[in-house]
Amino acid sequence: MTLALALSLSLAAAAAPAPAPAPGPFPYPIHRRTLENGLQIFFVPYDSPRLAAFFTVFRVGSRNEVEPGRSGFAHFFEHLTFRGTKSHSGQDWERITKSLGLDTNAFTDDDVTAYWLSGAAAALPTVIALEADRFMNLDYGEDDFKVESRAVLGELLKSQASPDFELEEAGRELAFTRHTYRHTTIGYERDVRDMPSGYRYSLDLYRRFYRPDNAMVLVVGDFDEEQVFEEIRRRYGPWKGRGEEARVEVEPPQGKEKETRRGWPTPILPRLWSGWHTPGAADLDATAAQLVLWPLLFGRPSALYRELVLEKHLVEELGGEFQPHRDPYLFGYQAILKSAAAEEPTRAATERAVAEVAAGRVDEGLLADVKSNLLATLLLQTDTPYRTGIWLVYYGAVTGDPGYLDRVIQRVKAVSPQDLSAFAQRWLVPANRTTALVATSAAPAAKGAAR
Amino acid sequence: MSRPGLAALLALPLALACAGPAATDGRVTRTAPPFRASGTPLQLGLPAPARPTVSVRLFFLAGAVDDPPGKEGLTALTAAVMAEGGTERLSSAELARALYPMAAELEAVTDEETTVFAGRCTKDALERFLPILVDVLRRPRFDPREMERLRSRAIDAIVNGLRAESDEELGKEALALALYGGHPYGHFVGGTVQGLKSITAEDIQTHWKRVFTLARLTVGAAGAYEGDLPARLARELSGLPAGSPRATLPAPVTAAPRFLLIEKATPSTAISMGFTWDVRRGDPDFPALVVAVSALGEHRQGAAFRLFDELREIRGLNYGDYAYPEHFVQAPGGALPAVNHPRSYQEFTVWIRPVEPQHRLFAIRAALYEIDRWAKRGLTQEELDRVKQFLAGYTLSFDQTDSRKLGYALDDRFYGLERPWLETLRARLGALKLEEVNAALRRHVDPARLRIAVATHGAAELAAELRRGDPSPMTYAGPKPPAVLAADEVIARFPLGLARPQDVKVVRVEELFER
Repeated sequence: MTLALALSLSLAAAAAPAPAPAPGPFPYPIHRRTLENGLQIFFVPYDSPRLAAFFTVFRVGSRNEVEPGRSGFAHFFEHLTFRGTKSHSGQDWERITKSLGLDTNAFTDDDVTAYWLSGAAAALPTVIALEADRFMNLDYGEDDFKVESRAVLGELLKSQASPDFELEEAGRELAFTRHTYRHTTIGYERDVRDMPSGYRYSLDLYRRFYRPDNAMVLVVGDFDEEQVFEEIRRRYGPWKGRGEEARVEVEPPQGKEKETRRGWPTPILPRLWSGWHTPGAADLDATAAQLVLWPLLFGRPSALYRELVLEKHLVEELGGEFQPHRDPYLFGYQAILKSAAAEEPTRAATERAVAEVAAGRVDEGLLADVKSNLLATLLLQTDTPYRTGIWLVYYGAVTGDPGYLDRVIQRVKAVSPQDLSAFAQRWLVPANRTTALVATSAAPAAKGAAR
Repeated sequence: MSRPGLAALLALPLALACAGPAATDGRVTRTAPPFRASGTPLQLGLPAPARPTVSVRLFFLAGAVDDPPGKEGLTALTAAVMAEGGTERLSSAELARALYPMAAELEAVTDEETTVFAGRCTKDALERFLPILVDVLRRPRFDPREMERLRSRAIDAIVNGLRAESDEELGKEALALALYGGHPYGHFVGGTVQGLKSITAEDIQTHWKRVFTLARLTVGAAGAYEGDLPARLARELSGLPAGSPRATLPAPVTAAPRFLLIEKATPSTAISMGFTWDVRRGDPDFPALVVAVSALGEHRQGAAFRLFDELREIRGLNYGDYAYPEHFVQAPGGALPAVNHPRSYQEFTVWIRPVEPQHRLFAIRAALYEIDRWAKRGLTQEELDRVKQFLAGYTLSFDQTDSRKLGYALDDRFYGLERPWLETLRARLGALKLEEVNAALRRHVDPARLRIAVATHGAAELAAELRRGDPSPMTYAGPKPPAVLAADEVIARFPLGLARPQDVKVVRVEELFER
């Protein structure tokens, strides 16, 4: 398991320190505060002498891109936030943060955009001042906007070199007909090439979604919580405005099985992806079931992995791990096939594995191992303030509450074979499934081919 | 456990021997580092009892340089068979299943000169994990089906991976072929297609006994262990063959042409450039060069550094542009350098991330222009102060975890350093003066020695443009400051460093990594 889980969370009144929460499955305590403007702040005390990681997290991602022709803009906007304010130009921001020796970056996903700085805890007051200024007073001109759009195109070009990107794009586009999860976070190539026309749209995106009540600040590490809170209140407190809800369409039930195939211009191993529509993070039971079911069906210790990868050599690698989403998304797997002939037996074996679970035949020893793995993973993957924070960023973004992580893990502990069977019967059915394949083809590929 | 990964090194049997503009410029590099294990394994312990996890690194002086001719990839494949292919007690599937409930990590990472078996688990899982780790080293299963599976995977990683799925890695590995052709570093760490095909089950078992030996091993442990874990592991591994140290490696002599163009069907163009240099950790000039190279292009740290600022931030050419003072492998999940890729012979490299084909010649020239200015004019005082401050803070994260601390300590042993490298670097940062840094640049950087690898569609056309020295004017959708446009005028005609047609070589991607 990679990302997954945690916090124990106490709802504290504004500016009142929360009592130390009882530790939950997540290995570190989480203290929550809220500003009057709606900004939520989370502190995680962590034994990292003199070091800390600081995140500003927005509940905006490619999910918010409902307007036609504007796929990729949430990610593009993430780039634009590095272009500066009237007080601190982009160059200023870079020079100051680098003079402090900070590791800095940002990322955008379907449901989240997060900005982080990691390094000396003594830098926190400066970091807080810079970041509050950046998100409250962002100011970029159309020329900078156009230049930055070309950096995004460069990022797309990099991604397009891999057939995995082609597979993801094909799978999403077919699986979703209405919901914005139908496009990748970086966006369609045609939209990325047209980004220079969207200056006003980018300003609208800023106004609509980069607001305090749509954001979280998360600090992990070795710091004085009261002092840092005061700095955050001083700098982020004057932030005004209310965030808008994106008018994301609900994806209608699929109804019948779907499939697509795309060509690739150079010799590659075929990529097979198959995914079923499943509930979003609001359904705690379904999320817990998926966290358990993915490794149980497709992970290294699974019978399917043993059969397809280790014994029959039909598949080179099985991947596509489950990650919770804000809205109903997909539960599926990706197989790198050893040959075109491996497709049919791979699909048949997967079908059998899913049918076994649906019939209630679940390896209880493996189920226990999966739960044990999840808890050990939490310890192993929270070995720095940054890596600890990343778990909370994701789980906080999909629900608005990082404490969701603890609740899911608690629920995972109780997942039974019967729960998994019921989940498979309800969701993992052919009419709910989409399959995509990318393989070498003499025919011109839609994307990724030489131009 | 993870496969060697595309980002490893390379191997090129291609005849890159055409004399280039500096065919005889191979620097005489001093002898390889003094670190040579012998007899019983060396031990290194960094206990931290309050931590929740334990890290173990079993570090062998065994790498791609140990691959026999015609069996390129044998060391990496042997390590993969050990780490993933099962033990006498556990089949491959049982091994994966045994590690799973602990979420224990166990991976073998091979580089040119070293292989590390890196393990990590929670404190309470240690006693279950250790016997498995010891068996992986001492009692590999050598299951013929697993050997075949892993060999096939290694071939796929070249044929379907490196050649087809990542232009960026292709560019970097092609550059390595150019820099090290004819040297023991001169093939991809993951092997060659024909080399891998020729490896037999017997080769793997013989190689295991030959290179994964006590004479080449250092046992390292860090984190929440009790007692003397390194000594305990050393005892439990004492049944490994005694072995003998590896012979000293010769210095690399680069004989490749200035440009290596790789023809492949791809919508973008990937560019890597660099040269070998005779400095490494422990050399008096190296801290100064680390600072200077950081100023040119710190890996994934944005527009405070020259190449990123000039090529991406101002001109929008691509996604990023970076420079490295030593061989660089990125650690998973971040921007930090991976530990335990030490090398006796080092390189200065520049990575220009993919550009649109119509800008490829301009992008090459823009990078050459920036490197030239950097080498000849040096850093400014303001820039030096800023980069020193940056590195003083940033390097704190380099050894933030037990596992990385241990990795750095092992690398220090490799380089024969009495004082840890990070300690030296941090101490030197405060005292470095502008004259020292710029003098080191002048001593060690000669842009004429750069070799340039370009993965692109239409390589023949690019070769013709290069040979003719065609200008490469740049245009933008929006206005640019006069200073940028003036610099572009210079860049558009910046000398490419070509004297003769044979200074450009074009190969098809299928020719690379074949034998």
